[in-house]
Amino acid sequence: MEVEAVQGVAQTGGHISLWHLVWQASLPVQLVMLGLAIASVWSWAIIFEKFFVVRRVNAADDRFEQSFWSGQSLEDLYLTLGSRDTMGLASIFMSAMREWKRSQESALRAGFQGVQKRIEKVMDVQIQKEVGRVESRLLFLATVGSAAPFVGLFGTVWGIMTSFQAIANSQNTNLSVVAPGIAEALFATALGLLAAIPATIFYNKFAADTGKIGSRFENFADEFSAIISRQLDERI
Amino acid sequence: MRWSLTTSILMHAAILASALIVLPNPDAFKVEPQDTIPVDIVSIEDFSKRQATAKNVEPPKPEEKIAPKKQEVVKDVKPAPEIADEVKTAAHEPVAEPPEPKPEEPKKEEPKPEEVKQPEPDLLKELIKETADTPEPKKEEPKKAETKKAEVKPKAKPKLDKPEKKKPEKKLDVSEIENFLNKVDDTKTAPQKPADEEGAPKQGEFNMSGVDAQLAATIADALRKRLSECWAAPAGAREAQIVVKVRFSLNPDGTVQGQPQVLNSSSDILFASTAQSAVSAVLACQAYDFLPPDKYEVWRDITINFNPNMMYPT
Repeated sequence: MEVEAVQGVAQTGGHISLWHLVWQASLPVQLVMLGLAIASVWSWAIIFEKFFVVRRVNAADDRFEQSFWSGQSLEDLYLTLGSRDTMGLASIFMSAMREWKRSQESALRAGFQGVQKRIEKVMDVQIQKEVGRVESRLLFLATVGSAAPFVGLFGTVWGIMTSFQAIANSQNTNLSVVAPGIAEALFATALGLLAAIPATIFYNKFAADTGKIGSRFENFADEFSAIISRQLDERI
Repeated sequence: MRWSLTTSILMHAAILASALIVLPNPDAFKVEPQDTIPVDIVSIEDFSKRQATAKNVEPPKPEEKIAPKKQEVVKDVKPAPEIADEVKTAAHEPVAEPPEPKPEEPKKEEPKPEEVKQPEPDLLKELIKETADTPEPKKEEPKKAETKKAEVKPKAKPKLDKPEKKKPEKKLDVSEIENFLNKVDDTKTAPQKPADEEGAPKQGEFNMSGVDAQLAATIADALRKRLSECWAAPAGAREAQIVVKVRFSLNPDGTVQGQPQVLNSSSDILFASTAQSAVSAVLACQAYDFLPPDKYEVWRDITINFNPNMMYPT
């Protein structure tokens, strides 16, 4: 009687291949696994995207800084960049130049004190926009990195509870009764770690990258406002 | 973003597919029906009864032991004919009646390998015949024959084709002779061996002069069980193989009378502490009220060996 029951359990839960681990798990564990798989897919998508965004922004900044410090007049630079879709430093420069152009007529009337302030404000706003574009969705990586192990752990706890119920039902502590349940439970933790580890690593990397990019923007904005203020002083 | 999302999905799908293909598929668990092991619960009394009776039965054993030896002696004689054959072939002498000397007298033949050295077939033949005519009863003096054999063989070795064959025989013979010569000692020592192996009171000696062995063994077992629960031998005593012999007297109500005495001594550093722990175990375990009051004289004076190895069998 007992032996038959044990064999029944073993036949249903005897395999521990990858496929069986997923399909024989109980529904909550399956949901956890599904969620973790989706989290992993999404976080890798973010990782790919951020990787190329950061590279593109850095390359564009390098190119812009080269042309900015090449000695050509800012008006010429503004005209050449105006036709293009700009990003990074170039977009900050463009926003500042646009504001300068707009306020030139009024500045002749009301003086140049307000122009300086406005340009700085505009550059600040543009910096926030650019940095926000670079670091968008990075928070998801951070969330996955910290929460995925716990989600996996939840699946493990649930799976082990199920396997204990299997032990209680079969009244047998045979390994073949316990092992499949524990294996599927641990598989949930494995998935959680699988999602969390790259997410954490790349979150740290991209957080550092966006920090660098942001400070580069700030530095450029400061330098550019210094140049503008010098030019305004020369005009007076 | 769409591009990176599709890349990510493709990557996950590829990894999953490769994992399904590459990862080994573990064998399914097989449930083997577990055999139930029947366990008898034996009380100490039964156990000691068995041991005590086993001890009583032991004495006949030595006789059994000796009996096969005798047979072996006879057996050992038999292989000799091979050598006899070899002797003949070495002498290049086709003898008509080879089987004759074999069973009866292989020994007399062997003592004369020197004569075999001179290839005089007729002489050899005569000799063989002589020996065949005067058959000696084997069992009368296998000792003599064996000793002779042992003495003479080395000489015969170089002449014969296969000396290797002889060697083991010789060795066997010598040991057999020794056994035979030590026959008297054997009977004396024999009973002691089994007593060591499966003697009843393993842990302690009991002064049980004129007392039923079974009862004494029962008391010994009961005391040993009790004392091993109370006794914590100091660490290292087991390795040092310290044995403490303690004698103590009991009151009829099972309490210890006076102070237990340590009878032996040792130079080991641990001995003092081991002895102290043994004495305190004796005192801590009282009262020994499980001992039968009507047999007080059996357990009034008790001498017990505290041996860490026995108390805590490995």
